[in-house]
Amino acid sequence: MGEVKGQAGAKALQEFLSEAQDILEGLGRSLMSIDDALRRGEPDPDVVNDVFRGMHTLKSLCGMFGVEPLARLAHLEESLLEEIRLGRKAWEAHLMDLLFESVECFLSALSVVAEKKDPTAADDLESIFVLLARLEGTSHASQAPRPSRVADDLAPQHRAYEPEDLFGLDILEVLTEYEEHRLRVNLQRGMKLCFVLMSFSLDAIDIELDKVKKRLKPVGEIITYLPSADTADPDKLALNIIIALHGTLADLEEVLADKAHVVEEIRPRSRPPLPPRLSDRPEPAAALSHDLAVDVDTAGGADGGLSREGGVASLKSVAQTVRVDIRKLDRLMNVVGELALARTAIARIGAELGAMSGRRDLAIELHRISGGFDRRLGELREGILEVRMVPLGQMFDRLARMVRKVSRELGKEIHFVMSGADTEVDKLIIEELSDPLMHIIRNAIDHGIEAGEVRGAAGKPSKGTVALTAYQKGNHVVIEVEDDGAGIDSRKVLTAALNRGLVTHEQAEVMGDREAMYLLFIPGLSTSEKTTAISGRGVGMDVVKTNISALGGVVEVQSELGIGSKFTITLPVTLAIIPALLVVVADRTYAVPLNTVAEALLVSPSDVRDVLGSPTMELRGQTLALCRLDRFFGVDRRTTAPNESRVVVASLGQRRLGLVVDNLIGQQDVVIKPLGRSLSGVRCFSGATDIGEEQLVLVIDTAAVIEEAFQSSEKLETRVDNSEWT
Amino acid sequence: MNVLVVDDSRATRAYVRGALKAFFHCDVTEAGSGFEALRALPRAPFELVVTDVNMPDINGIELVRFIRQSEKHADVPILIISTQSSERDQSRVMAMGANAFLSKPFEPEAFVEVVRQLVPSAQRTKS
Amino acid sequence: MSKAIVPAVEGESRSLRRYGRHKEELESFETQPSGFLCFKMDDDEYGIDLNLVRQIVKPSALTWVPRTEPFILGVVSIRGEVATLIDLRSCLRLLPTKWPRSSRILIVERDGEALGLLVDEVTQVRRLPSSSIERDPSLLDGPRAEYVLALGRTGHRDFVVIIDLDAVLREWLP
Repeated sequence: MGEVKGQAGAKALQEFLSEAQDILEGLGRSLMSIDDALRRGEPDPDVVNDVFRGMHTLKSLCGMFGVEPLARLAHLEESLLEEIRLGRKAWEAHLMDLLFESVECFLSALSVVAEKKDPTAADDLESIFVLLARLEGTSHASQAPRPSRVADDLAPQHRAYEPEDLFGLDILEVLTEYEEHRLRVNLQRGMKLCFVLMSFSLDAIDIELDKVKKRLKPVGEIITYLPSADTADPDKLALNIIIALHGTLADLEEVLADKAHVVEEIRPRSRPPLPPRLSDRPEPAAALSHDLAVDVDTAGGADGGLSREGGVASLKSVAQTVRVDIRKLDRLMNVVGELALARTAIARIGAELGAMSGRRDLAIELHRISGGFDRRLGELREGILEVRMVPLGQMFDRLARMVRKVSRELGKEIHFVMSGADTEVDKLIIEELSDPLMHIIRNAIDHGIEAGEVRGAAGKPSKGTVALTAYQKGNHVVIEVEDDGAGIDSRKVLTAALNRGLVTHEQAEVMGDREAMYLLFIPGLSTSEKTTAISGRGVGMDVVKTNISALGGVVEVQSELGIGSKFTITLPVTLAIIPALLVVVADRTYAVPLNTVAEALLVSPSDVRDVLGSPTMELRGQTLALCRLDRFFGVDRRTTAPNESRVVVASLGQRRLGLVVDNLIGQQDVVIKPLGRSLSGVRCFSGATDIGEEQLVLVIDTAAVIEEAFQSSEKLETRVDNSEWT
Repeated sequence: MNVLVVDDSRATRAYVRGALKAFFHCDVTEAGSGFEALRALPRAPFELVVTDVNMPDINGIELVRFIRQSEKHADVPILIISTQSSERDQSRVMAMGANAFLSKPFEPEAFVEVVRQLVPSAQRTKS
Repeated sequence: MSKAIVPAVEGESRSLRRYGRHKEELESFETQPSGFLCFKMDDDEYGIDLNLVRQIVKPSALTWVPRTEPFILGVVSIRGEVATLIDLRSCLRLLPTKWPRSSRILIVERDGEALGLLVDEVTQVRRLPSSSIERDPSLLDGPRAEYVLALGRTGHRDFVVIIDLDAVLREWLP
């Protein structure tokens, strides 16, 4: 019966992976916000509950989809979180660490599952077992359940109300254990409880309730919503909201002023009140609500207030957005490319038509139509590119988690400031950008920010600042990583480069500070005298630079000793990445877009026949016209024919052409950058690509080459029509 | 058979839908929240409701109570899918009128077996 | 909880100092209209308006582009952008030589496109008072007069040939 899993399989597995990823990103954000809040007081119970629910869902998903070790991990953590959210266990620093590490562990394990399309692919991942072992240790060591902290804070003689004092069974029965717990906590704090009765139209309840929640948040904590059918109107739903007021009744009335509602204070039913501190606003509550405001603010650095209203946000997203596999967009983009080729052909026919006498009217009409076609095609292309854009926020969240981890490992206190999380870039750029950015930030913390004492002695605040800033500038996105650390000593960089023989003394002598600083980016140079586990992993700034170049971007560095450093990455907003086949023609490398390559062959001279002066060969019973690229490029330096040639069979629509090259290097994804206008007369290249070390490789415009090759040999009738021959 | 599946996890819904579709001739309506469930309920006569307990806003216990109080679906079989973490929640939702409880994670086979018991008239696919 | 309680906001330290002396220098030059970037080819000194020059770089890996005119040397990657490299020497109709080690590429912008101009040697930035700029270079032999904007006197007998870059590029490029 494993077939059911198989049937539900592929698609449901995708659904699982994408939801798990969403949950984990949400978890990361919530944990950051809790971590932050803990430094000042208590975390927002809603956020804590979100974390619990996230882990809860992960547990069942991992179980159902057969990722057993992760299901166990999630199960243990869910139990822990359950204890915490029910106030039976306190947040502890090592728990926080465990949770943060788990998020990373889940992410990497799930990426293995996604890659292999096999739920068991991550089963042997060591990091899971390490975490499991630590968690099991934790649960053994955990102290006996103790009453919640709040209860400790209260003087013993003040007995607080219990939920039973206020509610009848009708209500108590429908509360979950957690809701009941929150009710109890608020009662112990002496909060006033109210019913707020409101009616919503069923169709818009998500959005309307979302608004109400936002307004209620500052004045109290919502315990639950009791739905009841509206007797008067079947399309409406009455909600009885139970809220624990942190403010006054007047505050509540004020935020709800423009919405029809009934507020009813919930008074104890049976027992007489024991009134200590009940009527006035008690201290802990004031501190709590204050914390919340700050909390949201800090979290907002990465992502508005989303983390707290996660449930509602996801509800809305179900209604308003769709998730698209990026490969589907790539396929669409390919179709756009093919349409562009068709358009070129139409324009060519138009031009030929124009040259024929008596057909000018048709030619003009065709020209007009193809112009309109071109514009729409441009819009389509831009539309698809726009869909690929995603905000940097997701990556920022991951970076924030890393900063936290690294700063703990190094024992350096870091103030991490992020801005511009809503800046959008191509999805592929985000994926490729995260490693270089991590490296730069890690370096900034490890080598840039000085130890606390050193900073103190230099008159700097003991806590180092690392600022991550993103913004759009024209067609580019600029990302800056700035630290207020020790700065980079360009003379040290230069000395290191000299010692490693990367520059000559002669070069060093004429080198300015700025030039020396850029030596950071050449391979083989690392200024850190000692290697640490944090940043000395053999990947250096040269890799950062190569990665950024591959994205069509640049990285620059500015630094001042004792004041700090700043790395600036400038990237194009969108990418035209295509897979290409790298070939060699007359000692130079060129790229052929892979979507135009049908196959590559090894051909001996005896296979080649000259038909009316043009080389052709037989390929599975069909005639294939050949084009020697060296001759085509005007660099035929060969005196004798080689023993063998490589032929890349390029095909576009019905046309095929064998491109004769000297050698094949292999396949590579390349970013096409346009050639300047000054080269617009050169038709056989669609652009150039940076394949590393600043070396540009020209990308062959297969369509143009085929077009030209066939034009010059039109008389030969070498067009190959597949249907005729098979 | 018309089935309403309520769970805020879309992958869980996909999983349940997959299991239902593999074994029964049925139409599955998915709801990602209690509200969506309340919206869906008046639109069709459901022969089975499958719901989670821990959901934002309206929890599963409240949903069960609402369904039991409604005229149209007072008698519909309700299958709770939740984790066993809270026995208390489990007993409450059963007390409120749910018919069966299946703890997550579960195998499709176990799920199908429970559905078969709850809705004996459900038409099975050939397999 | 073993965590230290720390003040919540430390946003002030955000205002870190901005750097980039080099860029500031160039920017301050921009306000001086009579700054010229001077370079040498053969024994003559030439100058172009400093405002036109975006960057000066050492020649790096050059990629030849087939089927182009000889004055187009190829394309180079400049700050992630593909720039066409132009042999200024042949545009000015000077005799070809081997590129000396001192060769530099001046990056200029034309209609939003980055162009590299290969010159033999960059000498200095000169600021010439308008009194020393001779606007009527008709007496000049050497490069074609239509490419010359003016002559700048730098000494008793010395002068720089101030090139009308726009006129040069207009003639050679589409």
